[in-house]
Amino acid sequence: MKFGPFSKLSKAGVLGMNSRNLDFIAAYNSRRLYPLVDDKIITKELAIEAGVTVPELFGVIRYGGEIHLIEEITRTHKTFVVKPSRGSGGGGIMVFNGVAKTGLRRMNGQIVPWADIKYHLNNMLSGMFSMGDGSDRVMIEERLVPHSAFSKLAFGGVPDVRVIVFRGVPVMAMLRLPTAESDGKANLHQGGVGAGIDLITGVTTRGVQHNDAIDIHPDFETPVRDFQVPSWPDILELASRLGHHVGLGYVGVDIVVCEHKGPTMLELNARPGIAIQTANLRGLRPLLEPIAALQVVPEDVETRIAIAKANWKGETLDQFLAPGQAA
Amino acid sequence: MKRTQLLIIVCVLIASALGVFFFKVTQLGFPVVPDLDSDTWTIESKVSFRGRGDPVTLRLALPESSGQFSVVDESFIASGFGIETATDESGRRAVFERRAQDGNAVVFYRAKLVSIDRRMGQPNSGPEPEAVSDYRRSERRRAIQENATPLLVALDSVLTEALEKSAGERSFITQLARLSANRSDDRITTIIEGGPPEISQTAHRLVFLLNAAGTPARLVQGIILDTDTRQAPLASWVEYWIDDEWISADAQTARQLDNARALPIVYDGEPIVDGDGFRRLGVSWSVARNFESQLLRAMERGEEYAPWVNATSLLSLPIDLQLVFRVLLLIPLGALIIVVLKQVIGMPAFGTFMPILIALAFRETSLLTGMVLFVGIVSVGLLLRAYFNQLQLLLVPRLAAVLIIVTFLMMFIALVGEASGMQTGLSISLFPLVIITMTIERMSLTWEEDGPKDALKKAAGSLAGAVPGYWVLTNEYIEHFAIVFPELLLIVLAVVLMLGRYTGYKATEFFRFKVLADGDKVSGT
Repeated sequence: MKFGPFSKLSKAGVLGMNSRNLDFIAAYNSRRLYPLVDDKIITKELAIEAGVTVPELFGVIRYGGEIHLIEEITRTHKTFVVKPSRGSGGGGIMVFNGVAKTGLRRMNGQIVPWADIKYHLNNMLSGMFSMGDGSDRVMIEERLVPHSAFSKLAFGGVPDVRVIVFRGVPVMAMLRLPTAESDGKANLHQGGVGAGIDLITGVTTRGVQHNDAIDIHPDFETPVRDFQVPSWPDILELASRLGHHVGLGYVGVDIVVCEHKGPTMLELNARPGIAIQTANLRGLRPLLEPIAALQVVPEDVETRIAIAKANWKGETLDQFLAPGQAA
Repeated sequence: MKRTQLLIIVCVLIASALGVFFFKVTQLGFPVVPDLDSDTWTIESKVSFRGRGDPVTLRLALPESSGQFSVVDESFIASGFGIETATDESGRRAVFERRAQDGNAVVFYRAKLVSIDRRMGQPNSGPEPEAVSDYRRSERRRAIQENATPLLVALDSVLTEALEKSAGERSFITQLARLSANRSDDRITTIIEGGPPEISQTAHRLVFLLNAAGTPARLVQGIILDTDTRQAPLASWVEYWIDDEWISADAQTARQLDNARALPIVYDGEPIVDGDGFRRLGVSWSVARNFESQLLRAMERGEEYAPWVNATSLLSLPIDLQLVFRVLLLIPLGALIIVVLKQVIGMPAFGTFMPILIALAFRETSLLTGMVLFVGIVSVGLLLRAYFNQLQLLLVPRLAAVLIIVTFLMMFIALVGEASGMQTGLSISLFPLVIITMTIERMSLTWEEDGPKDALKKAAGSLAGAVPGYWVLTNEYIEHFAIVFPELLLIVLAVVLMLGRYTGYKATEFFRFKVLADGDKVSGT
């Protein structure tokens, strides 16, 4: 598509939805591996296998008869997250930070009565918030406490870092900040703020909300630019390690920087969105193509991160070619 | 490699489609453009019944080659039955006979009718009929007035009023029809009570009154040839003799009917089917406007030179199946529109093929009424869905509850439509129930999770997608192309396959990434 207005998009290297689906997802993500990332319980096991920090799983509700499990968990844990195992787009997730006689307390202080909680759990079990059809399982897991550096950047929820990992090499990242409008969710299409991140330093470059550039967080009026994401090298390593281990060529890794545990894997996404390009004001295609051209991707995490940094700077990747491999 | 394979498939598809198409057009002369004014029709009568093991004689009334129509080609399908046609004073009939028939049986009659141009001649057959009496002769009026039974008094009063309010023969008939149709008129009630039993029906009553007034009239039962339908209702109307010809007229208003559209089958309340040895009789009629004679000639030519063309032509199917395919063959085009809307334009919508299903539903109503009904039902459904959510119902029962409510809403709309005389009310029954229910469920979920803005945007997208779909599904030229040249659908398949490997941008992405397209700040160093 080199005609009219589209030529500018292609010059800027923008990756369109059709191209993402065919050239990257269909080409690099084997269908057989989808269940690994679509089911968060399996993803968690996989991440532990790869030596990556994950939120602790308190319990799993598999069918209606096990709903009482949540009451047992409230005896030992006062704060936790309830989410459908195969949920999509953050649907159905509920975060509680306290137990009352009549119900559970949400982050905004509102008490949800037990009846409502059980109804919500039933809806989750019948697959209302899940991909595909049919029933689902509900996970009850540790609520991650975001790093204190985010206290003036995240409104009523947990901010996370989305890293796009291609063939085990991180290619682009953004910081996703919840806002009052997004109801504590970090999803961009629900009104969250996305901030592009310099892949080398981990410093944010610009912010967007609803596709418009913004410089300050709408709720705190703190700048979203030039913010140093804590533990950046660890984030890159986690993303690269997990992306490589899971076997999916093109994957989105969502990471929460935790106050106590450090970078923690939240979930994987086999169909990561393309909005990350506006947050970074940079097209994905020029970053993906050099990596696609590599015949072999090194097994060593350090080398892959070195590739990622060189790639971000736009340097040639010739130096990383295996010995004897033609450029 | 995948691309090469795809290109080969696409080329083969397009080449074969165009090959067959051009062969049919240039060698056999299939018409490319439909002749929309064609006055040829095919009617099909399907008579189903159940035998009792006794000899069966079944007499089916047939349309005649008199008056406006000429029966050019007729055929019967009735395996195991002896068939003959006979003409008696009540008209032409086909007689199906069998020594013993046990169990269900179906017989078909199929005829091609050509509407004859009046100017070409063919004088109206039959001698001038005689009326029962002529009320307008004074001695007749006096006789009525003297024998003052309630019936005759009422009759006299009605006829006098019609006579006084009219200026000529035609306006007299119009006035009489108006009076006759008004059942709350005491005089009409008296006439119904005193007269022959059948005149409680409007058409019979008008015939009775016309005859009493001295205008020869008769009751006709037949079919109004209007649109293609698989269930043509048997209609009743009247014919009256004026200016030396029979005029067909509506039984309610006496408004003249288009003779080229009203096909008489039986007169004077004769049964359509009679005979003995059977029960559970069912008669249904289907009507289809024929493709013009050019097409028939082309098919005849095809019979000689390329029998495979006719063998694979949908026009050789029974009419009711043809009617099904006239819609079905348009679905691929609808699918193509969806593909373009989703992959190339990037329109938001609920579900994959929903816009086209909505368009299919709109085909039964009209675009505007359909939209109003759709928006209405979905909004009421959304409100109820929100309420059910408060009651904390489980997912599947809640869906079922919404489905049931939607059914009731449709029933209600159909009843209201019927009561207020709007035809559109009835056709909504074909509105896909489940589609609407799923729309409601999906829309309310989107509403809750992504906010009203997203939900409304998607709903608008779905409706907007239905508009081009509706246009395709109702366009007569496209329909003609699809049924006469179904091979062209292979091109649609080819285009869809090509779009399946389309990796270009969507139109909406231009706006989404405008900032990247405009920015010269794009770093790459």
